[in-house]
Amino acid sequence: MSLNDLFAKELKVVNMGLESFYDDLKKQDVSAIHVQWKPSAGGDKKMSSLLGRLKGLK
Amino acid sequence: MIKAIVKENAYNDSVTLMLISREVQKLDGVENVLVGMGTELNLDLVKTMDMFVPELEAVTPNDLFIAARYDESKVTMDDLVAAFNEEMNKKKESGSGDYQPPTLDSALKHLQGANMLVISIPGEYAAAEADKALREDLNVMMFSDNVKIEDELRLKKMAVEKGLLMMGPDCGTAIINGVPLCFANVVRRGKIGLVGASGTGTQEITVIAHQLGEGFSQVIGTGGRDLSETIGGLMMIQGIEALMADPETEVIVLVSKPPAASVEKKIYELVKKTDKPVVIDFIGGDAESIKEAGAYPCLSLEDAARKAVALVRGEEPVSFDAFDADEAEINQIVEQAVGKLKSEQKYLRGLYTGGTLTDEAIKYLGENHAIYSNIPLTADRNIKLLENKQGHICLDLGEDQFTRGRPHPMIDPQTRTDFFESHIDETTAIILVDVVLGYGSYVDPAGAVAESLAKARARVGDRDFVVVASVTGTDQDPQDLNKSIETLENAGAIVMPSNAQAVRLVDRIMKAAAL
Amino acid sequence: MISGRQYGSLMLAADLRQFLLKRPQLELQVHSAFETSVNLMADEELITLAASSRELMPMGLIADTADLEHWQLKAGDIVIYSQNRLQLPRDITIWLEKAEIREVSLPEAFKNKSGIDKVSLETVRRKLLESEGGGIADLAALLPETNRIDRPLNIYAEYIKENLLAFLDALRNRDYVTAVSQAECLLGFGPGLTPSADDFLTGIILFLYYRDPKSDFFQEIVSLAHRRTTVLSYHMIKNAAAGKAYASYLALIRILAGEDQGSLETLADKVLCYGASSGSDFLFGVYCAGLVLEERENARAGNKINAGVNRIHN
Repeated sequence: MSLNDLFAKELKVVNMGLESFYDDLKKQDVSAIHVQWKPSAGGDKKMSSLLGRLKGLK
Repeated sequence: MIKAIVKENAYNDSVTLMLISREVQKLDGVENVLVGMGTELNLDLVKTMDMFVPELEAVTPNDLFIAARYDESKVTMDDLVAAFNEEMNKKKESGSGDYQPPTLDSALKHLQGANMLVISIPGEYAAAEADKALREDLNVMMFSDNVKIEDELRLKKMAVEKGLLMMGPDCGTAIINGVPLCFANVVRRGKIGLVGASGTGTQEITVIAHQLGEGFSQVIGTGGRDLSETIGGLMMIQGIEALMADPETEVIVLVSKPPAASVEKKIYELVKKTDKPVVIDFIGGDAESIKEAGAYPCLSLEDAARKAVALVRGEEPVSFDAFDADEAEINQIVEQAVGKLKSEQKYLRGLYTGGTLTDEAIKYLGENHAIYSNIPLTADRNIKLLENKQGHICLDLGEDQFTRGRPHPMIDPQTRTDFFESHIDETTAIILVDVVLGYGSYVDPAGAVAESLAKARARVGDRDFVVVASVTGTDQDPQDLNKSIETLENAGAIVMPSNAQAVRLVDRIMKAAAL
Repeated sequence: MISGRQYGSLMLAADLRQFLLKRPQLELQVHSAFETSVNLMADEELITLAASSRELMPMGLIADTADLEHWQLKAGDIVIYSQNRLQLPRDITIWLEKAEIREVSLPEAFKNKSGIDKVSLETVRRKLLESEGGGIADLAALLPETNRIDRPLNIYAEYIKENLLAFLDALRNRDYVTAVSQAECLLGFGPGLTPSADDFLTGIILFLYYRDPKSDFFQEIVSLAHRRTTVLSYHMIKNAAAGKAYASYLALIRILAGEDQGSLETLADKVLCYGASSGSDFLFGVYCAGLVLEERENARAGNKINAGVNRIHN
């Protein structure tokens, strides 16, 4: 794939972050979607014992 | 403050409920919001989150509730109800319409054939998302900054390998396939292809070329750090190669601050390989080596635009460092300006929103004057060294230090308004500003400047300033170009056709007034 | 004399057809109205009228129209059924005659004793981990060997995690008493019009219905649902306990049960788009049921081998 492939296509944009960028794209009738992104809030990385036993799919 | 709204026997589809949750959560001052059907377990969760209030006592499973914890100094119950009602009343379009998925993955499900991710989330998270996007064969435009340089390198390497764009981090301007992305002006399609590491530099060149009647095939951004030693110009090189191969591109323009030496070399080697004329504005860079590479060096962003236009038209490019207006007119303007100034008015105040435009101003004016700045030419002209603002100042208000926790001054004029208040006083002689239009920019930047000028004049009483401005915009931008110019002129500003001419005029005035 | 607005029907669910055959004249009341579907209540049953873009659901009728909003139905409106047509307010008539009758349940339980299709289960796991429903399907992130950056649980998944795992534990051990009491701690929980955990239980029940039905267990959960969650969820769970669901849900579990080959990816993608998180929560339920059933199979196989070994030694 080369960059020039992009030049031949219709731009379809995913916007993540400032919603105003998405609004601007919609105003120009550009195919776009806005991601309502949120940062992760810390996490639980413990494996559940049950699902660990159930997995059987190694 | 915790309050709840209850709608009895209210059934709304899950997407609407999610939108309600999102809209209320977005309000400034809302700390937490829970939206759900009033089942016992959902209410248990509300209790666990310490958000239970008496209004929820009588709620049944078929009732909808919204519980919100909010700071009542920032938002009121009415605001919450209004946000809730707005979402409830919205007519949803079928298909993806207004649906705003929570992640990139779900977005890709809803937008088939997506090929570009525009990302402006905080820097610490941006790299991971860009990584995902590139793996999904999306091109990326990253406005976010504060991204680690190792991440930038890794992302750009991946992009180059896959033949994808990785524009950024810290890339604010691009126009791909005629679509302005982030901060960009509406310019016609045409034969000029541009690769730029400088946002407003790119904008200035595109609008001037458009005003002169030409247009652009592609405008590729690289991000501010692309031409550093570490990154090695990966995107600039990929961009140049693509434009070399692009049948729609006849002339190539490069704009950036001077690259690292090794990168500069690579670019010249590449440039030598093409028959297409190449115009290079490495702002303040070495003209000789550019010529040796067979490219056209530039005196300013405007000059770059003019040269590109000439080359598209098959004309010999001529360096331009003068004015559109004739000498007589310029002399008159300078005289009038000097005549305005009282003896205690000594200083220049350049208050810029665009980094490259600031840079252009400082580089030109810095040759003959001591210009203090937050992006100074030399360390000894750092603004921090200037006492009591007693000196010429030219600031890039879009720089990191001023945008922490606040929107960029191109989006929101408040920062510049604040600096008008703090930096304009009876010792101010000349005010120099950029007014940048286009997508991404504030709805009426000229109006905001005019307002600040009026307030400043009121503050200093019987004095007047010399105000010089340029408007970076086209007749097709969402803001009204002509109206913007008129607003500025009515506010007593001298509006010049380009930043370069505005800066040159300021130089003349400073010399004539011996500032 | 034909007057007013007339609409045909494209599909009629077999269970709804049976229901209507027994009731030549029926008064229904609009329970809730959405852009592409309207729910009606009659005789304690929930009937759904839906637009042509929708998939046929149990007790459902697909009308020949792109959206229902122009009918302007609202909760409380009366609809009359008689002589094979539905009479709506404002002179709107829906004719049922030409509707194609479709089954909303499978003809029989799963026969294939060779077991749960591991490859398909793996595919479902991957799809779950790739999707971001926002409901409790995020608990799929607890599954080991993810090949993606660990994603933390949202507050709903975090809150319900222990109960859900205890529920699955009980199912694995065939301890249906405990399973019911844990289900009580799941019903009605989560975001969405049909709370996430209800979609999850729907997935569990539907798969177990065809693979290892325990009707007492199902009925207990249905009774609990009646009290502890929304009317719409209750009917959804009730339908699952009778083996009734969207055709795509049924097709999905058939593939997982090794009863059919088919494009699981496409089906899963389709299901994952349902609601805001309903699809992913349902799929998570189906997946967990698959794990439970597969674990039981392994245990049985283990026992058989042990028994065989013991005989030899004797």
